[in-house]
Amino acid sequence: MTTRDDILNCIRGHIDASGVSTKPTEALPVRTLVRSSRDDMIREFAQQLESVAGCCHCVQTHDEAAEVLRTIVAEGSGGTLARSSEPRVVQLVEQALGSTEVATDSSPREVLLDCAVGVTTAPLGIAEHGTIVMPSGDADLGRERTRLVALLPLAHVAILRASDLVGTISEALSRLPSLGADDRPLPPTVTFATGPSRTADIQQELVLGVHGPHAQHVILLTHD
Amino acid sequence: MSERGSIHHLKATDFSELYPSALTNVELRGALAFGTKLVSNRRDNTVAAVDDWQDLRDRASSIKTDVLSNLDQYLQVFEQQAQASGTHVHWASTPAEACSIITGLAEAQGAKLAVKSKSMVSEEIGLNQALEESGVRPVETDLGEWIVQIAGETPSHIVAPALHRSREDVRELFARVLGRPMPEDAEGLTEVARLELRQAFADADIGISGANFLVAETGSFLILENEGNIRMTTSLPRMHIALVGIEKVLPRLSDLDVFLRVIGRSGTGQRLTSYQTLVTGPRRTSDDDGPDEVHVVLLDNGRSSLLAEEVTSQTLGCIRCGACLNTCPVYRQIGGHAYGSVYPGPIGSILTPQLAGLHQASQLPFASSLCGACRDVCPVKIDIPEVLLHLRAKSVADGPRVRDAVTHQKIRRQVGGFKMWSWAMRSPRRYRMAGRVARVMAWMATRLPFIGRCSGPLRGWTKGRVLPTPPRRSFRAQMARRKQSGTPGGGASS
Amino acid sequence: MKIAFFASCLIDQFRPSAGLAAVEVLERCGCEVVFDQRQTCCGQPAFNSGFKSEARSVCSRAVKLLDEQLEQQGCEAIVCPSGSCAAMLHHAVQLLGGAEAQMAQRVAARVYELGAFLVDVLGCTDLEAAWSGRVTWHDACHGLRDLGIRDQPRQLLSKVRGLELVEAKTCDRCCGFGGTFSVSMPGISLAMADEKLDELETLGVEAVVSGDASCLMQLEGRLRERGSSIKGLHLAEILASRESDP
Repeated sequence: MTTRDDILNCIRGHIDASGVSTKPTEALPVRTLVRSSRDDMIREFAQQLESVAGCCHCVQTHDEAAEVLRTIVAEGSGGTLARSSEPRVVQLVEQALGSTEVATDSSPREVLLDCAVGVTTAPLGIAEHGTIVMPSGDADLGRERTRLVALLPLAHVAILRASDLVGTISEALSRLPSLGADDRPLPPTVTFATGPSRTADIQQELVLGVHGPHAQHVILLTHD
Repeated sequence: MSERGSIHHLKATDFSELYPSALTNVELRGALAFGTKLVSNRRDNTVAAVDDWQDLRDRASSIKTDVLSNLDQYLQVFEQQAQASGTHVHWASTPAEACSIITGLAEAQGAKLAVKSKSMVSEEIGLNQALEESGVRPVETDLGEWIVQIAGETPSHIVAPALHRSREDVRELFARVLGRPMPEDAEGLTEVARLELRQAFADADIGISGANFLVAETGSFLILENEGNIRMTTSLPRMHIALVGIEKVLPRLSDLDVFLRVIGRSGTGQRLTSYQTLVTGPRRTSDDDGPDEVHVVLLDNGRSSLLAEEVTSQTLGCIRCGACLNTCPVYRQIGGHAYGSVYPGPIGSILTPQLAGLHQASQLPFASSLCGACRDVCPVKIDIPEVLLHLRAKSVADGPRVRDAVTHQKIRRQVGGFKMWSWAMRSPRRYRMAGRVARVMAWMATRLPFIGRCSGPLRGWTKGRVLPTPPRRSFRAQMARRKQSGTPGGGASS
Repeated sequence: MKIAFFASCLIDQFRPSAGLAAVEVLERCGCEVVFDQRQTCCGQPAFNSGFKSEARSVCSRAVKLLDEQLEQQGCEAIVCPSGSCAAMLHHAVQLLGGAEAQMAQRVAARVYELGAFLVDVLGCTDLEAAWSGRVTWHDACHGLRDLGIRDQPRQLLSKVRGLELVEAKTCDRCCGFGGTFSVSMPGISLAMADEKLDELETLGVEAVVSGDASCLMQLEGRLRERGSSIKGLHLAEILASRESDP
């Protein structure tokens, strides 16, 4: 008998011996927010993100977005910017920085590890926590590579459309299958990020910025 | 059949020797008092802000009950779905099997360096030692876990591994290990660790993590964190291995909503931890980032035997949030290392003896005042005191083979006492006599202190406590008089 | 209302003043209090130490006696001036099997801790008690967590003339007694008591009041060892007190 069968038999044997039988639970309906107009969600998202030391920049136009990005880069330590290859990101970076040389999602990771700012989109945002949701990339589906650009640089800037905001984690989970690839329901990795990376492992003192980004910016396009 | 498991470096039979030195360690107790109070206050505050907290706990608990009573089915669905997504699923009955699966995978990769993100299961099976023995250097990347690793210690808390260390402690440790002066502040020290570990991430051949939840429906697993080291561990190396206890499976993706709402609040007092990474297989196209191979190692190590009884089965509902540690008045005094197991505190006191066998840790179920604070905070409603009582009763009923030496001595001494006690309590006359004897003894002990120092329970009591001066007449004697003198309340027959 | 009084062995033998005070308070509220001299212990010490069969034999005796008082002597409720003993009588349902479990069920349905009985059943909060001084309340674990008693004693104390109730941050932290735990691991037990007492001594209180005699024995024993002048008082002792000078 294989270890697998051994373990499964052991489990079944013990459950039967206990005499406990429970009917499987049913899935609950998707949980939504009480106040869920677009404005409510924008307000909630911004407030929650700021409450965990993230920065939410609400903008109406792409020009404003470019201006915000310019400011973030200027305030940064002046290191290289990395961007994904998503057309919206490419366009915004060009608009903000002109012909400055940038790293991309296909740059070697040694380069990305030294970048000051990484720019990607986030296809989903969760208002109740100020969370951005990023599936891993897939060229065949035209989905951007966010994984390293959103992780390795010191600051991450995510571009999020207000129309991509949902109220709750529950709603976000129910939308994940729509981010799926080919015949599989889910992309290989989905990252939920809420604010910058943090730790309190030294005497419970909060420190922002450990292995992940030290700063988390979200440029929220309120009219998109 | 795989029955009992084992826990790496288990020293729980030394509990009676470990806790007294913790009690006299002023620095440790300072760090403990500070850390546990801070985190449990944060937890209380974030939980108080949730209107439907009790409903959430009910839901979390009922999902866990469902999972545990249909565990074999959920695991098979998980396996099938995970494999369909390209994840390799391995099964291990024992720590040795799990270690050899992982070292085998490392060897096949020619791996020299493994980055690890905090995993209690990896501590449970002694994975680091196994990796070192097979020529792979394991580097812990969670800050607290890294501190503990370079100090040559084990974690003292399942969520905050270095809770027992003060900032000054950490500074001295870094300075000693890295051989250069260190900044004073937590921010500076964190930056030192970050830079040290960045190279390890870049060079690592494999990434090893645990997982908080497996999702049967999709064959995915979810890992929670704050630091970003898990994102690094699961993104940079060519191979990712997740080592997970079999009890961690959930039926559906949507169930994560309930557990994400309770786990952050319970564990660190956060509404949500900074990052959740949901993994469903390796990268599928060559121009994506992420590992080429994803492996899940499902570990039993004695867990399945807990399913044999309803009372013990609930132990497997634990989501390792650590809330019971922070609130436990015993943990707060002695810290995690005194428990002599990778799983300390209230949950450890029931998990360790059940996984490794009661004889390996029979003192732990007695290391509690049964105050019930742990049960109150548990987000999945594990009745820890009930399990403690169950294990105590097992120690008494199942005889010497389930007891360690200290517990055996203790129980042997109590057997006669409780037999006499129960004999006395079954007759009002004997009870009255026993009461009189107890009062006279106590009276004598208050006058002649040496009496208190010689006999069993009195000796324990008078270490640091003054005995009450016993009354001349018992309540019942006074009630009987009252009845004779015609005042009401004397009651029924005597 | 006719009630069966379950004194608990600790109060019976070591703190009769609390038992007598409880009876007085109940009578003041118009209850007819019946104390059955045949009662002994609820079985808790053995139950908590893992000696189940010893606990069962003692507990079943207590349950039978109380059930008889309910079923045959017309008592409508059982009142116990100890939260942990009242909680033990709840545990009895699981501990005792067969026909006894039914009895235990009836007993568990009607057993109340003193403070909870006064407030929840009788609806009495003002007992016209008077006790002048500053006190703090200690939530005994089993009363608080097994029976959900938190507000009742505070309501009762707030109506006592001359009494000032100060809340301690550690009011619901365990005192460290825990039955045999207190004598088998005295070091931890004392450290737990000290955590509470360190705060208590900063509150300027004359007494710590509780609904469980075992906690009081632990706290008072430690207070006296520390040379503190703070007293331990049972809730009943305060509620029975009429003079404004304690």
